[in-house]
Amino acid sequence: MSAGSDPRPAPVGAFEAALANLTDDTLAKVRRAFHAALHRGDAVHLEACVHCGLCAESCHYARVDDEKQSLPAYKLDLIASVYRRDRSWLGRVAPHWVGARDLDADTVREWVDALFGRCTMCGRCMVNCTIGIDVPTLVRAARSALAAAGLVPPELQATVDRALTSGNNMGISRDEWVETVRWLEDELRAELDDPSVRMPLDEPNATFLYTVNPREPKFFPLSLMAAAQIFHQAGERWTLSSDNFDLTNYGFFSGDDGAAATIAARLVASARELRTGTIVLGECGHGFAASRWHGPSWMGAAPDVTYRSVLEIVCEYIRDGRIVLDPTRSSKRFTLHDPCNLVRLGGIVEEPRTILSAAVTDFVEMTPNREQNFCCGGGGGQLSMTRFAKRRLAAGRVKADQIRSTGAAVVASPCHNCVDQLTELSKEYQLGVSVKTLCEIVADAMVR
Amino acid sequence: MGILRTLAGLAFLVSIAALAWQARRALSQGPPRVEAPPRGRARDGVAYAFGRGMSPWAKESARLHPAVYLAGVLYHLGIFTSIGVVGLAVAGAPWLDRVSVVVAPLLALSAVAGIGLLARRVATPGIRTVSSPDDYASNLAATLLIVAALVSMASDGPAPSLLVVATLVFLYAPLGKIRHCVFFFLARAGFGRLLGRRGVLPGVAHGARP
Repeated sequence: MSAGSDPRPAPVGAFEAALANLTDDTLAKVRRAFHAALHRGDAVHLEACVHCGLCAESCHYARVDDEKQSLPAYKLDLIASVYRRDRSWLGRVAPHWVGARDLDADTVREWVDALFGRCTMCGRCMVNCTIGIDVPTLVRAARSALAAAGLVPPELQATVDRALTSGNNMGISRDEWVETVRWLEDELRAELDDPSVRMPLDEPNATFLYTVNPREPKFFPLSLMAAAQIFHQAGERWTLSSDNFDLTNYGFFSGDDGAAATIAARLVASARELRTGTIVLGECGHGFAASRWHGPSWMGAAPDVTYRSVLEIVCEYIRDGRIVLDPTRSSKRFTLHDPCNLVRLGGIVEEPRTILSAAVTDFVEMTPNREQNFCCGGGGGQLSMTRFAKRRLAAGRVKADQIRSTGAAVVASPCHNCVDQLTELSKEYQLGVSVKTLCEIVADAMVR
Repeated sequence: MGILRTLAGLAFLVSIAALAWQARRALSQGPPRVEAPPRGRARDGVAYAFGRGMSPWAKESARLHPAVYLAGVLYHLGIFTSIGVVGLAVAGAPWLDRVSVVVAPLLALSAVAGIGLLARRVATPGIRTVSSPDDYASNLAATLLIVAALVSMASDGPAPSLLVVATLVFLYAPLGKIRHCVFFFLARAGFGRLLGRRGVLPGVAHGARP
């Protein structure tokens, strides 16, 4: 299959109508919002590209098609050319000479198609750029400008809206969440034959507040149960919040700083309310990066809480002997997927490896890995933007090839969005692998 | 020659001033981000960015295109050497044969590299797509500077053409792509700082690598 044959998404609905009939007011709004979205230091990156084109192979989109719109340099230039038009002398007097362009209707439409539909903001092009241009940050600035004018693809916007109105991106009600936790607690007690196992809700003064991707209670309860089992075995004092449990933040992907701030602030409010100084973020790449690295800027101040990944916590349990693992329980071959926002852009590089090495006997790294990993294709909000699904699956071929060459039967993925994409890739490319989170793998290997 | 020396010297100063102004403007644009507590050290990331991170094995882009990487290194060495030659010419320093013996071959290789990179830009559709006239002009201008320096090296003293070309290149530098001579360093430092603080890069990441 080839994304090269992928036509632009068919224009239907109000969003497409708005894109087709962009007014001068809307264009002016996008332009103002773009310049306003640039923070200190961003302009340096907009001025630096030399158009060497060496970034091409770094992008999973560009690897599977030969469309110019998939080239990282092209996507970057869509943004930088607008900046040059407004902020450089030659860009103003001789725009053609320096490749400067107006932020006109065609450019805005191309921004939507390329910056939402051909980029996961994974940062692999940045790491391999001759200069180190921070493409993900610039793409997000452009997405912010589109968001300010209401030009976010509606499926992604709906995910943000659902999180804002219901408190989580899956629209799970408080009662449903509490009921699910109680049910899982009963299940866990029965499974472990241990009535002392707890999944605490709203316990004050716990060591940490544990937060999850809402896909866990909705579709992957085993993942949440696995984490609870690990915390129980480690003798941890932890809690869930019945009000705010969703660690995801799709405002990160849509570019809406206001929504992102609101969502990020909820977890902080619950942590304060429960008088705990630490928020532990479950297995979710963008959720980790959103709270850990971007939250302070969105909220306007660094909150008085510490953010930690659950992988850091589990790694410490293993190191300190608080949990003991028997790696011989599974004879299968495992490989590890590095979620971009957790690893390349998040810094949780070695912890997943330490954990997986302790939990299984046959762990094979993908090539390349760590900060050079390839995006699975599900990041950047792609999973919610169904209009770009065909491209997403085509771009995922790079990851599928990586997985296949390891000969692994199980792919460990410390991110629920990646789990979804990898599961789809397994079907699409007939990989025949199962995909598990690291907590699930640890729980399976845990000696009780 | 005197007036040409003066003009080249003035053009160089104008260029430096304009580039410094642009760098200051770019660095101060927009509100600062509120930074999260670091996980690694920014200075380690910056050291990586300008050290190991510049090596061909650190970047897939360089590994996959070793000839382009080598040409890029030679080309830029030649440009900076040419600027040094212009400096000697402007200062009226004596032309030393033993310097020419080393510098002339480097400039020759560098000029070939510059022409090669220009040919690649013309011949590669993906790169052509993102190229503007300024990209071609900047490449030609810098290559011309190298050639002029080479011609001067082969002469008994600085050729007037070197000073004329240098004056034009210095004056054009702040306007077009040659600006990256400043923004490369700023962006590269920003890259190192970002990933250094987050503890991402090799040698900066938490925990030892196998």
